[in-house]
Amino acid sequence: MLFNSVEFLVFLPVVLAIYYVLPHKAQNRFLLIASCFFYGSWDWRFLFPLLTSTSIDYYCAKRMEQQILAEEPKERRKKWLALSVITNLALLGFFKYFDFFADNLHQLLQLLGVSVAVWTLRVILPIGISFYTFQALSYTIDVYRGEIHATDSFFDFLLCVLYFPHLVAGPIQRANSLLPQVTNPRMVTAEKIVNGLHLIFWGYFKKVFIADNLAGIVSGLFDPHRTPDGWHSLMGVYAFAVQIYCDFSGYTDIARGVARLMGFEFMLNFNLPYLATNPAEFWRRWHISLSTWLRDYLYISMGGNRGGEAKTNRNLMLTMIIGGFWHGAAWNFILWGFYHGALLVVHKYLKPWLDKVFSWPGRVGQTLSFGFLVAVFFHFTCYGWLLFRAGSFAQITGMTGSFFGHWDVDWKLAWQIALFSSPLVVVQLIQFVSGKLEFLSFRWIPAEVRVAVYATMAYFVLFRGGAAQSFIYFQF
Amino acid sequence: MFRTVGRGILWIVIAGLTLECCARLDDWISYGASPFGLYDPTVLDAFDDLGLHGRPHAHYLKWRLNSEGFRGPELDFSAVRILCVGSSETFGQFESEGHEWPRQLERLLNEHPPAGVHYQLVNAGYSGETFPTSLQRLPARLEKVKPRVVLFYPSLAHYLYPPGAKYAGPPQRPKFRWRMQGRIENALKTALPVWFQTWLRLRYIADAQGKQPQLEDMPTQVQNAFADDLRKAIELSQAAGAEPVLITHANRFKNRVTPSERFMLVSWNRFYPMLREDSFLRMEGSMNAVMRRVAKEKYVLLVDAAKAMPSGPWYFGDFVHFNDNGSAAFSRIVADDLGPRLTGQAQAALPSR
Repeated sequence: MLFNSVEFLVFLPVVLAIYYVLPHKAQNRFLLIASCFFYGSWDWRFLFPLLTSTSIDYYCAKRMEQQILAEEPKERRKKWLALSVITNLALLGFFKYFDFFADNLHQLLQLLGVSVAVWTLRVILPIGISFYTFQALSYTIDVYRGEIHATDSFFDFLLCVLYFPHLVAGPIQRANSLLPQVTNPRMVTAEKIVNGLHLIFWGYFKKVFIADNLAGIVSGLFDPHRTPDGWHSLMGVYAFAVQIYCDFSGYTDIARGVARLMGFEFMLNFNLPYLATNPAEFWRRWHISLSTWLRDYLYISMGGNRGGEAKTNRNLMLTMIIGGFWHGAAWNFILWGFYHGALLVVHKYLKPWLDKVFSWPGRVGQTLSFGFLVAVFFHFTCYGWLLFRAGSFAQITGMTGSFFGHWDVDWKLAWQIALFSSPLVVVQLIQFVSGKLEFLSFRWIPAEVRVAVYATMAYFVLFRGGAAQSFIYFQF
Repeated sequence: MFRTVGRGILWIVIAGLTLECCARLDDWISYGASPFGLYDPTVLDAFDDLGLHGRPHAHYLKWRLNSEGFRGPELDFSAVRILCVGSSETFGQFESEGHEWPRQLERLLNEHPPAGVHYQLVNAGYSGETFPTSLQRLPARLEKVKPRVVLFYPSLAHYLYPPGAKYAGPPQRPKFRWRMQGRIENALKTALPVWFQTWLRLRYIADAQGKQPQLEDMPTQVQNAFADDLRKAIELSQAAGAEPVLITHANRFKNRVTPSERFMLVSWNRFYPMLREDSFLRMEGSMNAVMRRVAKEKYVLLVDAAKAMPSGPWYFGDFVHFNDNGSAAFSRIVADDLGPRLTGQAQAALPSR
């Protein structure tokens, strides 16, 4: 059941109507049932790996909590943490990475002249497994670290993981933020409902009008059978940069908006990422729930920036490579992670020099230097998207090479991409200048004008949306 | 309270007017349609004593009519012209612009034409035009187009309506219509689950069937009338020096309706509630048999598309109308039979008669 499907547009009002009349405890049980229905609507068998890992995580966390209360040494908790981590990673590895490793092993053996039939599973990847695995892991790690208490209620924990707005594509919610919202009664105010509806509305606009319309253009420009030229490659990565942002942030906005309608508050996942001036800032603005997860549970666990420069760089690179691999079992995601790791390391060394060179005096100077850095870093990000979107190494090298070859300028194509991207550019500028992300709630705009803006957006969503596409991040 | 209600009404009015303005601007930017006046499928329609036909130079969304009211480019008198006579299946409903079967067939025939020959397919099909009406228009069209070949692809189910039903004149067109109306109707139609749409259609059919007897097949006298019409079409074409070609009628189901495809049969039945749901394939079979019989009797070329055409949603947009794939497959079937005949003719003929 996709957020942009008719089924969901029926499902949500029904869920809300029942939810609002129930008391708190019954609300939680009802949301659990609704979430199971939501997730099971793809394939009810997907529920089994989820319930397995969740049960084990709950049990491990409970045992660790008992050990903490008994003031047993931290070392004893390790086995329960290990059980939780191994279970989650084994499930992820089995469903998501088994075939990748098997295929690569097969190719390696072939290269070595050994002909062996390698067994692959070809199983369907349960939707959202990467998201809920990380979410469950954060719970057991936080309990292990003593940062949160394990919950007594299995159903509350299950709801934390299964709660349908974030289940399949995040934001990856931390237990320390979501669990209290589950266990304590939630307040649904008129303001929350209005803000939630604004988020949902803008999310649908980004997804249906911008991302889905650009999807067709991007598919054509990344067609592996076409001979790329510089112009079309550049337009392809520009269009994909906008598409993936609108697709994923659109989903996140809908998820956050739906949660807000029920009184939940999800973390911000995107904060104007294309206005970042450097890679470190980009990762503070892009997929924040993942980047902070990687920072807190991977980078810091590996030692973070303690232990010297070489180890810091190694930790950075490893974190980004694993982050890339998390996105998908393919070499181009690993390469994308490596690329961003390298950008972070290189930027770390260049930072003092960049700060010096681009500290232009005056307000105009600051604006110009900011604009210049944003434009330059946007192109570095776009090259990353080329690595991310390309279907093969041949396509990566072909499109990269095309930037230095023939440019077949096609203004009509540029106009098309600009047309679909322009609402995003305008809105992001408003958000940036005003410093408020929830631009649809601006009180200084007369209500009548806002109604006209909503109606215009509704028109484009309902009648000018692209062919319905699944959300890109569902595959992860 | 009064103030709040008033404000709510004002917002609804603003939202409605904004949506309508968006729709009009969208039509203007996307299709060059004037933001003022009517813009719906009826802009394509014109009426004369015989009834409905295409309005010359009309344009609506992907449909563009030439100065004769035919879908496609202007007549090219330097080409060997092939006239296509039919109904909405020929006019094209679901195909994208330039992919209706006459255009696709034209491209196929022009791939390897005899030296110095160029073919033009003239699409004289029009949605809702029955074969008897086409027949009445045929002499004038033959005179105007001067075709070398006439392809007849009649819509068979039209014969279910009483013969000789008098044309009552053009319907009254409203002076104003909200452009959002059609869009909302289409959106609702797309959004409604198939089972619900089928249920609504079945209710409509049941109501309509209560008022008239249900047919189990096309009545024999109607089949005979169809045979007479085909003979007349052949004679008129031959008298004008054109070779008539009959094409049997293909449908989405071919020989059997699978349970998953039943909804489409019901949607066909909704247009012809006088026929029982399980009798549509029988009716198609009987009428196609008439075409085969007449073709044999009159020694004219028959393209048996009903047998050759693959079935299913990959080829059909609904029960009888092709999509781009269906038009391509259909054109290939016609080209395979017609091509050798045309090559033979071209040896002895000049491009223009």
